[in-house]
Amino acid sequence: MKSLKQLLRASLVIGCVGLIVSAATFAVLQSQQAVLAGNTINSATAFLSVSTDNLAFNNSKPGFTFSGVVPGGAATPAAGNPVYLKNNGSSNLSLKIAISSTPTNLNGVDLNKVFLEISRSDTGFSQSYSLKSLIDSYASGGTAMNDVVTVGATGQYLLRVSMSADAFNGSSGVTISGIDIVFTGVAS
Amino acid sequence: MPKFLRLFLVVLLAVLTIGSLAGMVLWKTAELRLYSVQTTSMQPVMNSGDLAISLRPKTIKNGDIISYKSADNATQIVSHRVVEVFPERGYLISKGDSLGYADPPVPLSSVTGKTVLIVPWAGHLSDFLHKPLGLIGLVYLPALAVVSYEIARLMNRYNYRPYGLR
Repeated sequence: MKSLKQLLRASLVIGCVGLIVSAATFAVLQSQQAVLAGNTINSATAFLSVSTDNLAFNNSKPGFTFSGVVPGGAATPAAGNPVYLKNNGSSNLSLKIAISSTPTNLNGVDLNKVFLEISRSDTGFSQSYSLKSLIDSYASGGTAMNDVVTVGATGQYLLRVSMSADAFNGSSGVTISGIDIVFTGVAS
Repeated sequence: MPKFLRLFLVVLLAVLTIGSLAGMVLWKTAELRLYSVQTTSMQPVMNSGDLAISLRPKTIKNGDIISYKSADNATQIVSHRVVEVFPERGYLISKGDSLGYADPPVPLSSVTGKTVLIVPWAGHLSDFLHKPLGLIGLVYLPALAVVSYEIARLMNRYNYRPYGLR
């Protein structure tokens, strides 16, 4: 009788262990890691969507790397990187712009002297902001762009980067990447 | 074996067994999911290294923390707070508590669950279990030890000695 009891006990323990091992293995195989994808061009407003090809609009898009920015040289790229902002809402949106994180700046360029130039061909809007001012303005909701995207319209913007001659000491160009631009639309 | 240690092991085994059974049942019936938090986008509510436990949502309302498949990568799960729900349009807007901007619109069909419990630091354990060393060290080896112990006891009880050990 005692032997039978021990046999039952051992069977129960081994069964329980098997169940636990199976459950743990299954949970490990099935569980996933929650992440936030690092997007670089974003809209902070539900009805303002962004695109870089004027085809696929979303609230966030992978951004650009501005290479070969020469101190004191022309804004790069000459043709500009296109960004499209579409107003899907029911009221006109006044735009604000900010940078949500500090860009990758391996060469130690003075970000007060690096400028993001943004222009829009159909309205003639053109403005330049230092990267530092855009980074600083993120906490307060962004810098006003003095431009409006009307209801149902898509604004085509071009982005370029330039820097002052004394922003960086060196004869070769530098690269600044990971510029996380955030556009906000305020109903107007 | 000391009595207190024996009692502790029995209770531990019972808790783990009941927990495993409950977890498997909830997995099937209520879509229980465990997510290890990897970023700080939901601070201060959720920190990197926490474990978010989510269940299938019956309803989704503003303020809920939901998990959804990222539009950019369906294998990535994002856990953010609901800002606004547009049921008639079939999507919602969510945002990380510590982020200054909202996520892209989330189709309701992409929502995988609603966070019901956050266990601080338990995500680190989950991350460790994802590694072969963690799974072997924390699950398989202890299980092997317990099973071996039970088999050795039985063999001793029945005076069984494998060939070569007689």
